[in-house]
Formats: sequence, C-alpha cells, structure tokens
Amino acid sequence: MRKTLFLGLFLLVFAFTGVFAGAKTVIKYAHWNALPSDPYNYVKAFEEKNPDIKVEFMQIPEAEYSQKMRSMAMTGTAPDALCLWEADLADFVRGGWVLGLDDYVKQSAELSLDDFIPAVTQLMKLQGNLYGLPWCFATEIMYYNKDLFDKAGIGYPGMGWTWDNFEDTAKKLTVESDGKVTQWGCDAIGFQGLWYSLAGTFGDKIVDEQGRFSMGSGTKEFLKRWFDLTNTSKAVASPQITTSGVVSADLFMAGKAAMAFNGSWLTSVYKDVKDFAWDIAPLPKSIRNYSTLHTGFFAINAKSEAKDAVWKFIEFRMSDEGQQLINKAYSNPSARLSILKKGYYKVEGPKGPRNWDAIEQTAQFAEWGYVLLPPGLTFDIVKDFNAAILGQVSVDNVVQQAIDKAKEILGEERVAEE
Amino acid sequence: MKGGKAYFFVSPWILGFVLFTGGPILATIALSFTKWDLIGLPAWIGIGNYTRLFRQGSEFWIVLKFTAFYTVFSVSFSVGWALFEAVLLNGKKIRGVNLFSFFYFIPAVVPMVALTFAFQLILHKELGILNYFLSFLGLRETPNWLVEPSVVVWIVVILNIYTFYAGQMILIFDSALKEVPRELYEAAEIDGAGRFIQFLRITLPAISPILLFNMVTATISSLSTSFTLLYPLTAGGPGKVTQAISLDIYHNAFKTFRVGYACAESVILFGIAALVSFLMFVTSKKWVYYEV
Repeated sequence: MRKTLFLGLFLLVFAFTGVFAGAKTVIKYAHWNALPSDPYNYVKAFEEKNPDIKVEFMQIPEAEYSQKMRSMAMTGTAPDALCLWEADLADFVRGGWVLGLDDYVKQSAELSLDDFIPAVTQLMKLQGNLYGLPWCFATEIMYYNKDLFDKAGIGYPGMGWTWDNFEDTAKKLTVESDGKVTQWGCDAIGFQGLWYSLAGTFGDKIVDEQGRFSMGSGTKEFLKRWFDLTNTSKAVASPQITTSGVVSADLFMAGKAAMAFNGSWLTSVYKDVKDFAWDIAPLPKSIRNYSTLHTGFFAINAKSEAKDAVWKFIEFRMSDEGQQLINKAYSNPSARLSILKKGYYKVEGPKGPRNWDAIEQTAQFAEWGYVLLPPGLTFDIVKDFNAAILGQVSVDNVVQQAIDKAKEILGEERVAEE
Repeated sequence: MKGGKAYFFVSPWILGFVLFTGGPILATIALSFTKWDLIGLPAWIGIGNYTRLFRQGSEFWIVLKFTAFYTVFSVSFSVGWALFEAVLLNGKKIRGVNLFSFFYFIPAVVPMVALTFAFQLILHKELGILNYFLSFLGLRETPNWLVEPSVVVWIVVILNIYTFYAGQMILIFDSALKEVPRELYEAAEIDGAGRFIQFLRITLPAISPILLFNMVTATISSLSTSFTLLYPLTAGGPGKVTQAISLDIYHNAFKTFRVGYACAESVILFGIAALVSFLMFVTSKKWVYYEV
C-alpha cells in the first residue's frame, strides 16, 4: 500500500514538473477584425518570437464589440490583451478595468511617447495617464476623380484648399442633362464621421480640451452651406439612408461624383477602381484645418494575471516589425511617426492613390473629436443632420436638438455652451 | 414521491425559465428604476426613467407613434397578404401550384440583412433600378424612397411581406384552408352564393382561430422583432421617423449605454404587447368560431 502511494505521489510530481517545464503563458486577445492571413499574421509572428507565450485570439463582430467588451469586463472575463475604441477606453479607465502604461513605456527600449502623432499625447493629457497605444490610425479625407477634373480643366485639390475652392469646383463639376443631374460635384456624406469633421473645419471644437461635447455656430454654418449645395445648386447628391454610418451605394465609385468625403480606409477599396484615375487630399479648410482620427488602443486588462506577457505582446505589435505587418494587412498608417514615414500602409492601385502626403498632413492636425463620445449619440445626431439637409427640420433647430441630446445622454456637465 | 419525480423531470425547464426568462424579466423591471451605463453599479433613480420617457417634447412620443402605426399597418398588411396568397394557392384548377408555393415562400427564407441591402440598392435615388424604370416613364423628379418621411413609413410596412413570419403565416393559412369542409362550399354554391360571399361566410369563420393566432403572433413579432427589418434598412431614420420601440431599446442600451432607460422602454413594450394580446383575445369571443 505504501509502495503504491509513493509511486502515485512520484508520478504526480513528475507529471506536474513535466507540465510546468513545458508550460506556456496563455493570454487572451480580442479584436473586431479577423487575424490577417500569412504573411501578415502578427499574432503568429509574435508567438514565433516568444515561444513561451501563446495568444488565444477571439474575434468579436464590430457591431457588438463595444457592448461585448463591457459585459466581459464587468463579469471579470475580459481578455488579457484588449483593443479598445476611443470612447470605450475612457469608460474602461473610469471602471478601473485597464492598467496605466506610463511605466511600461518609460522602461521600453522600443517605444517613446515623442514618436507618436500629436493626438496620442493630447488624449493622455485628457485622461491623466497613458492607458492605451494606438494599433494604427485612420482619418477622414477627400477623394477626387482626376479624370473629371482634367476634363473640366480644373486644378487638383491640395493642402491649401478652402471651402470656397471646394464649393466653386463642386458647382463647376456638376453636369445636368435634360434638367436632371447626371454628374455631381460631390457625393452625399456617406460615413457619419464626416459631418463632425466638416463641421470642425468651420471652427467648432466638437470635443473640447476637457472632453466636453462642443458644437454650435460652426456646425450651423456648415449645415447651411451643405444644404445650399444639395438643394439650391444641386452640386451635392441628396442624402441616402445610412446604416451604421455606411451607405450601400457609392456615387464616387460609380464615377458619377467628382469628389467625395470619406474615411482613409476606403483607399483599400477604391484601389481596385480601373475606370478612372483618382487621388486623395486633406479636407478643405474653412476657419481651420480639421479632421477626425480613428483607432483602437492596445491596452492591458487590469485583472490579467499575465500583465508582463501582455505588455510584451503590445510592445511587439507597436514595434517596427509588428507595425509593418499591421499596416500592410489593413492599409492603415502607423501612429508612430518614425514608422509612418516608412509608408508601409501605402497600397496603391493602378489608378490611385498617389498623394499619400494627404494622410500624413491630416495626421498633424486631426483630433479624436467625436469618437470620444458614445456612438449612439453621434449616430443619432447624424440622422437629424440628414433630416435637416432634406428640409425636414431647420438647421438652427437641429443644432439645438443636438446640444439637448448631448445634455440628456452625457449630462449637462459634459456639454460646453458657446 | 410521484410528485417529486415529476418535479425532477420538469426541473430543467423550470431552471431554464428562471435563469433565461423569468430572471431577466425581473432584472429588467428592477433596472428600469436605475441609471446604469454598464460601468460600475446601477444607481437607483426611482421612476426617473419613466418621467423622462413621458415628459413633454420627449422623442419617445415619436417612437411610440411610429410603433403604433407600424404595428397596425404591418400586421394588417402582412396577415392580409398571407391570407390572400394562401387563398390563391388553394384555388381550384391552378396548374403548378407547388411552384407558386415555392416562389411565394422563398422571400421568407432569404436573410433579412441581405434583403434589406438589396432594397437599399433598388430604392437608391440616383443608382436604384426602381427610379431608373420610373425615369423611362417620363418621371423627372424621382422620389428619394428611403428618406422621404411620408414614403419610407409605407415602404417599411410593405416590406413586411418579405419577413419570415409572413412566409410562415402563408403556410399556416394554407393548411387551415385545406381543412375547411368542401361540402360547405358545395351547399353554398347550390344556394347560389358567389365566391366572395363563400369566403366571407364560410372561409373566414372556419379559419378564424388560425386568423386570431396569426394576428397575435404577427403583432408580437411586429412589436419585438421589427428590429431585424428596420435596423439594416433605415436605422430608424431619417431623424426618428422609422425608429420603432425595439430599435430604440437597442440604441439606448448598446449604443448610448443608457441601460436603465432602455429597460424602462422594455417594460413599456412588454406592457403594450400584453395589453394588445389581451384585447385581441377578449374581442375574439365575438368573431372567432372554434366549431364549424
């Protein structure tokens, strides 16, 4: 009996030591995108470099990403390695669910805060500490059909372009036939963020330095001018219904609109255009240059038991090698200035784009803006803006309505009065 | 002992009901008296969410108005359409009736999201095929179907014929119509009753229990699952013109993270569905015949 017990204990100890000798630290990681296939699979590349760490990946669909992450964090089942949207990061900080990264970055031989686009340090100031590092970034820009510009003998838009230039050009590029518009100067706004970015060029802060909702006279001025372009000169196409901020039909891609405003991520879609030459430019300036930045932040779950392994994973994804894989896989630029210059994200099609400076110039003045607010609020306001352009509600009323909605959802203290 | 065994065998259902139905209903009612953004703990605010919902100028009134409109017309339209198609399929001397059944039912099994995106393209003002055909007919100013408030509310009602429950209703009506005794029609024909009178006096009373069943399920579906049609098609816009209460609940709970407010809306939706179903059953005593 004693012999059997001894043998059993021996086997148990042997089994455990065996397990521990080959044990890997397992970290869970969630993202709304599927992992890119080889050769851009950055998780696989990380695991090859760090054989002692295994990354368990889970994809959560974009439409339910935010609520799923919140529910998981609340119930203590959130992944160790997080990638959080801008508005969620602030809430996760408030909930104490993410770890400060300041010390990690200070000790890192790879990363330096001076190497990031200005908006990263602005967000850090707003939140008091550094809680996340941007996995890459996208911004909102102008797309234009070079062939239609050439045909009309009009110079291409660029960094110095103003709203007056835009309006004049849009009118000149609008073609009517038999009393019906057959070519629009500019497509209707498809992606919801553009309403905020364009209003921002008219001087509204959108979200001020204290993180408060801030829209007013600039938005009114923008909406009035957009209304005229849509209804009076008909240089801009009528608004279409948007679901989740995206329209299903695209006049620019169909070659029926000379210009369009949209996210920089569409360069990876438009690159397949073969019928016309096209390019990109920063948004036209009215009172100031403005655009919105989009990203997700790599963060560490404060309850993770493998924080150092997660940091290693973040450090790898933010390294030159990791960023190269991510930038190429998703055609989005790096938020690290030294890597941005290398242009890994530039995936050109046969007809465009060529003016990549437009994205790098925009990165210098773009802000987080509306993405720091709950998506429900900003989407709701956009539906009202569309109604204003359709003449269903006055521009003055719609801006007041937006302010009232913001007060109701965010609370009065988070809304700046003009 | 016998009773104990019985309870043991039904316990999985009871457990499932308590955990996944009863519990969440009670939690929803409790949360409707709180303010909660899915961060931290819910804060008790009493009837604050309800007063906010029903205050003057609240957008909830627009939501309620559209929900009532949508429910009344989508139920009438989809039940009427399903009955009409089922009657056609039961007509005499129709060749290839199975083929017709297939084509009538097929839209019901197409995924709603795919269908709504197809309709977004069909109804697009500039690139849509519908306006393309209308322009051939000489129409210069073609409608912007999905953003004109007076038009879009009818479009979402009409598109109900493509929902799964409309397809399901055709099948249910079809089988009910097959059960109506033929001799009743023969006797009516001998008495000189025309097709319409036969439908009114024989068919409708004979299938009235099924009609009631379809109306109740269509009403509940319309109130609670209108989301699957409206969210991908119009997202509730323009403004709040097509924002049904089911869509508003989702929007407030998961897009603006006002969980308490959304729970209060859910409680109201629950009350409306219960009241409407109750009224339907009460009034059914006057028009539903369980024996022919």
